Amino acid sequence: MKVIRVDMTTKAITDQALPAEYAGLGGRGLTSTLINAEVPATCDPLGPENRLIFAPGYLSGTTLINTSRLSVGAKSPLTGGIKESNVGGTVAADLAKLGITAVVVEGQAPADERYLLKIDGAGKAQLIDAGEYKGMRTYGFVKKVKAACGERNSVTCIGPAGEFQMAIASIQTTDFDGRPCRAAGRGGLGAVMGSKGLKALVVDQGGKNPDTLVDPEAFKASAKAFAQAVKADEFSGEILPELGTAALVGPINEAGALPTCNATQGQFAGADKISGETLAKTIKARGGKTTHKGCANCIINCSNEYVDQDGGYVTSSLEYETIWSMGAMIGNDDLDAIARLDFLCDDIGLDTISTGVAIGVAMDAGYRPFGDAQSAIAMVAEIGRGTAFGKVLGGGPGAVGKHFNHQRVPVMKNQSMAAYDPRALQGMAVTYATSPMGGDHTAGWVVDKNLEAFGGTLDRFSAEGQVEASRDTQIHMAAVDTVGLCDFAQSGLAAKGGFDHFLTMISAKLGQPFTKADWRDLGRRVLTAERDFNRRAGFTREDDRLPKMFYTEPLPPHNKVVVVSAEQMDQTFDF
Amino acid sequence: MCEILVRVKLYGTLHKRLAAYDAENGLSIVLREGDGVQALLTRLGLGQVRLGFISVDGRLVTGDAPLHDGARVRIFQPIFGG
Repeated sequence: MKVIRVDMTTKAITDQALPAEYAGLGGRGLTSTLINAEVPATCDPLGPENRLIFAPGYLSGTTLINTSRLSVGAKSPLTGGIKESNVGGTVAADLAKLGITAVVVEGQAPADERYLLKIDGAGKAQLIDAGEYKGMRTYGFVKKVKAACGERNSVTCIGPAGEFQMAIASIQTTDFDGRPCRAAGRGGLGAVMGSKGLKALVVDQGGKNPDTLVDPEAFKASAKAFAQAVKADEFSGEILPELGTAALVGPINEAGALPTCNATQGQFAGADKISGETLAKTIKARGGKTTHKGCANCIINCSNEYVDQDGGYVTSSLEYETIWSMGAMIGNDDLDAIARLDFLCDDIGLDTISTGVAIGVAMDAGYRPFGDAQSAIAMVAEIGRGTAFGKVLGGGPGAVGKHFNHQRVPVMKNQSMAAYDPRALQGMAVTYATSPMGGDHTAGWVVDKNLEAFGGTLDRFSAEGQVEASRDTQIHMAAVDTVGLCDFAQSGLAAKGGFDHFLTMISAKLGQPFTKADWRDLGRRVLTAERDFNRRAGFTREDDRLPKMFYTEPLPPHNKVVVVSAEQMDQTFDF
Repeated sequence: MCEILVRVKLYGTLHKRLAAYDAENGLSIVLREGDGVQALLTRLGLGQVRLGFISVDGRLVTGDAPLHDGARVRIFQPIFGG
């Protein structure tokens, strides 16, 4: 359990035992509490005082399935508040197997310098001059780095957008096949990495020094039962492997909750052309891959490899959020164009959600017509080249709205909403408005609680119970993001006895009992740290609101607006 | 007794439960006038299958919803997201 601290100003690297107050934390819990303790809340997110923290989940590196989740945290240049964005691939497992609990990057290299942070098989870190890779896109860069450092390394890196320090720049990491197609996309953390002069984190994949389990037998038995439950579940065991997360396109569209043409409609006429069913059929017909393993320790295999008509690789993995942001949100029903846009974002190092929404805002402002996929591709290419307009787009939807003096900008704390319109799912209004992360669906996904057919008990068009549902889920997800469990393996938690197995595993590592109450305390502790940081950064309750468009523009086909009041929003964190 | 014709599309992996399902065009099912969603599910052999929601002409409905000639029915499985 060690923390590697890297000072990009002095190039000093020090190893530190994890301080006792952070025991039991990993992932988001560790990044958020460390940032709240060590980063001045009012600092320049792109200055030397900010810290960029990489932390595998608490259970990453164990034998438990679907736990290779890496949390990346910093003060966000997009929201101005605290940020955690987590990503799959292999790097979390790689770091954890080296016994590394966190890598904390501080200071700032001179603007024209680039470095790789290389961590070898003994867990020793060194900074290597990377000037030769300056400005490279991620796919080409990874190929070169692997040639230089060895294939058996994960590479977590930025592309040109991160080097330009754009507010929607992502951090990309390599998947199970070594491609930089997994993104810690939200909040512009790629820009923070770029501001440090850090081009990549390169981690040896042969680590054999994971944290010791206090009770390995108890862990093993529970891990086995948990994995069986995930496999037995229809969604994680059958639907996701066949269709991937794109399985959501059909039902969310049918529910009238798929934001379309910059959230002017809740249903997209072209939804069937970009649905999970069509995606799977297209991939199979062309010889691509569904049921693809993207992350270490994964048994769900929700990833895919999208190929062109000649069977050539285009991108991996084409997911629901990207299909929405580059599809329905910009009125585009061309799957090939969506796949191309996904690849470009991965290669340039951009959050696909924010990029798609930025394009949607530009189209809504009249810059190009909705549905013009080729213009969308040209716009993303401009970001990659760093043209004047490309830099506007790279600033995110808020910057695009200002550029065009256009008011319809679906952002919360300046981060774009995701693929669930809050007017058709009032619970998502609460999560989007109040999450310390800004517009974020994973922070408190309450779609199921809003739809009776999915076991929900709430009226999705009513405010009643929505604050409580969002609060409950936000607390839960802060804990999930701390242990590093994949969202989709939560089917194991929902299975009979599944949550108890999960608590047993945490306890087996921690060496002391860990109860449901401890789980809730953990989630509250993380949220409290995040809200404390944001408060000190200048956020007030007025920042826990949605843009006016959601309160005043009825969303077809149900023609509803958000009805959760400001007073109700303010009760979300009454715990 | 008059008959009605409804068009059915299945989502997720429901197609695996109906060997004759045409993924491109869905199914056209003849029902008796007055039959509703529950009768349709029984007819499809999905009466005992765990389902998410069902829509008729783009609106979510419950199991006792009526059907009309030409209705466009879509059947979904439960989902989880993030």
